[in-house]
This record gives sequence, C-alpha cells and structure tokens, in this order.
Amino acid sequence: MGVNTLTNAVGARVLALGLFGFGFATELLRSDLPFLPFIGFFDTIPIGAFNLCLGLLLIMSALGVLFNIRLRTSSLLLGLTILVSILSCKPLYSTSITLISCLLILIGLGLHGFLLRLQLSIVYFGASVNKLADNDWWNGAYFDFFATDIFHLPFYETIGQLFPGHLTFAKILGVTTILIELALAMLFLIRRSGNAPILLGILFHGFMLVWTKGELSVIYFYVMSIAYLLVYMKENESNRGLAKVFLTWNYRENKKIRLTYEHATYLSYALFIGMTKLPKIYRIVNVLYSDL
Amino acid sequence: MITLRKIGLVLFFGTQMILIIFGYFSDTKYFCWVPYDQISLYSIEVKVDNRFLSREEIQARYRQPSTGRENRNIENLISIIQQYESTYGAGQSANVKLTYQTNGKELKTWELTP
Repeated sequence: MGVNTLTNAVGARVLALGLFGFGFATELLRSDLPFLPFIGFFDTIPIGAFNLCLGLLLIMSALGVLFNIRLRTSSLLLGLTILVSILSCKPLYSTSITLISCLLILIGLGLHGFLLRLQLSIVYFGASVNKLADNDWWNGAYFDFFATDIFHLPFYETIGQLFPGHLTFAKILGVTTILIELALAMLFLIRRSGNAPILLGILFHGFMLVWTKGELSVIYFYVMSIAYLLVYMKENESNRGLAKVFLTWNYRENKKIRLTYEHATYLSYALFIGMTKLPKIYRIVNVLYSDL
Repeated sequence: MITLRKIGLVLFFGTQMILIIFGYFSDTKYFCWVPYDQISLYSIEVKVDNRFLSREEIQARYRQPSTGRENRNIENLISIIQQYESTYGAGQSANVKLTYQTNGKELKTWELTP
C-alpha cells in the first residue's frame, strides 16, 4: 500500500471509528430526521425515506472506509452523509462532528498537506475571530466562569492570587487563548512553519484537557490529533519519515514489530477510549487521594 | 485547468469563510468554528394548554435537555426553540420561558408567548 493511501486510510478509519465511538452514528440512526433543519427544503422530504437513505449511506460508506473499499469515494460519501444529517437537524449540530465531516470530505476530494493546513487554519481563524469581538474574553468574565463555576480548575484561584487586580489571571488566559488560536491560524498557512503549529496545537489542547481533568471536549482533542497526524504524515510522505516509523518499528535490535495501518487505527481508537475515561480516572484518583 | 475537484474545493473553503464572517455579525453561531465561545447555564419551562411540560416532554420537543449547560452561544438554543414553535408546534400556542446565566453574569430571561 502506498504511503499516500496509507495516510488516507488511517485518517478516514480513525475518523469513522470516532463517529461510532462518540455515539454520533447511533444517535443519527435512532433519530427521526429531518427535525428543525437548517434548510427548510429538508422538511419536504418524508421522514421514513430520509431516515432509510441516511442510515444506508452511513453504514455502507462507513463499511467502505473501514474495509478500505473505494476509500476516497466511501470517505467522501461518509463526510457528505454526516453533513447532510447535521443540515437536516439543528440539534445534531456539533463543531467536532462537523470537523470530522470536513476532514472526510477532504480525504474524498484527494487530500494533500496544504488543503489540510488550510482547513485547520480556517478552523482556528473562526475560533479566534469570534472571540475577538466578545468583551467577556477580554475582561476575564468568560475564563473566570469557566475556571471556577464550570470546570473547577485546580490551582486557578491560587495562581490568580499571585496577580494584582481583579480577574487579571482570567484576562491573561482569555487573551492568550485568542492569541494562540490566531497564531495557529497563521502558522498552519505557512508551509515553512513545519511542525511548529502541530506542537503548539497539541500543547494548547492537551494542556486545557489536562487542566480541566479531561472534561473539556475530548472529542475535539481527538479530532484535532487526527488532523495533526494527517498533516504530519502527509508532509513526511516524500522522505517517508513518519510513515516508515508507522510501518516498522525496530524493537531491541533483531525483533521487529510491524505496525500496519490496521494496528495504527485501532491503537488510535484505544487511545481515544482511554481519553474519554480520563474524568472517571481522575475522580477515582481523587477519591483515593481524599481517603488517604 | 478548471476541474470539478477544484470547483468543489473552492466552494468547500469559500463557504466556510462566508459562514465565519456571517457568524461574526450574527447572534447565532453555527458552522463558524466557535465551540466554547460562551458558556450558559440554562433552564427551560414550557406551558401548553395551561399545563407545564415535564423534563422528558421538553427533551422530546426540542431534542435538548430542559436544564443544562450550553457551550455555544445561547442564541443557538433560542433559535432551536423559536424554530420549533414557529413550525412543528405552531398550532399549540406554547408559552416558553428560558432562564439563563451567561459567563457568570446576571440571570436573564427570554420568553416566547403565542
């Protein structure tokens, strides 16, 4: 299998598995659609026929992706099916699932490194631009609420007391978030930035995920990790850098472990399952710690 | 050379940019890549035919929990309620009261009367 196909296969498979792991696929199959669509036209389609078509398309395209049958077509079909289902039901809307749909569509359209970078740049641009105009992100109101009432961030108040003035720490966190997202939007557009935006993105999302004890969108972190991995793999296709590592990992000189794309897919999925359990693990550790 | 793929890609990315700009000027934030732009704690009360609907009935009505946390703009939730009441629920003359607190600020109420 060529490295390019391998990258697409890994990406599309992990994304497809994520759809089932997040419960989106089952929610979609159980829902009566259309329901409160974004586009009025959907309300003219009979519910039964629409559900049957969406269900069949979802299952067939997901199987196509998982078993590598016409990968690009299956990927495009899966991405479009998800997008149509979201467009036909406002309550189904989710940023993470929309991003999965976009990535699958891009794989279907013949994904290459720069297109993926452009997609990520647009995502971060949207995130930062909308925050720029929101006063609560500048005056600390958003982050203070986020840190104290919603996620109860450890050490937030302790660190906050080190700064002079009311909500100074919250203001710093708010402004830093906007700046990081703007920087990511720009860095992903510059090819020469290499792996810098990937590293910055992982640190940014990973730090927030750990600080919120795994409660802040694990799904978003998962999708972003896949997108970063795809950028990395795509850009190392020419020298077969990571792809080579992906395929064969030398273990204690003469033992060779072949890490096929199948293994990579399931390892990534296992990693996701582990991440979704982080809040539970944290709670158990917390209980054990308080018992001591 | 202009190919179908190129047209598809231009439409794909162009639409996203348009939606980001639209989202910037709009209260509802859909398809503009803004998760967690604001956080609201909310509670929905619905009265139909002088009877308050149960939590389960509200969940079934809007496919949204009757109380909970909205991690996107609260206007997104309001748009769901408004759309339901002006379409599927138009004949029921429901009274809807949404109480919410955004970013830790004062409690606000949004009401929809027939």
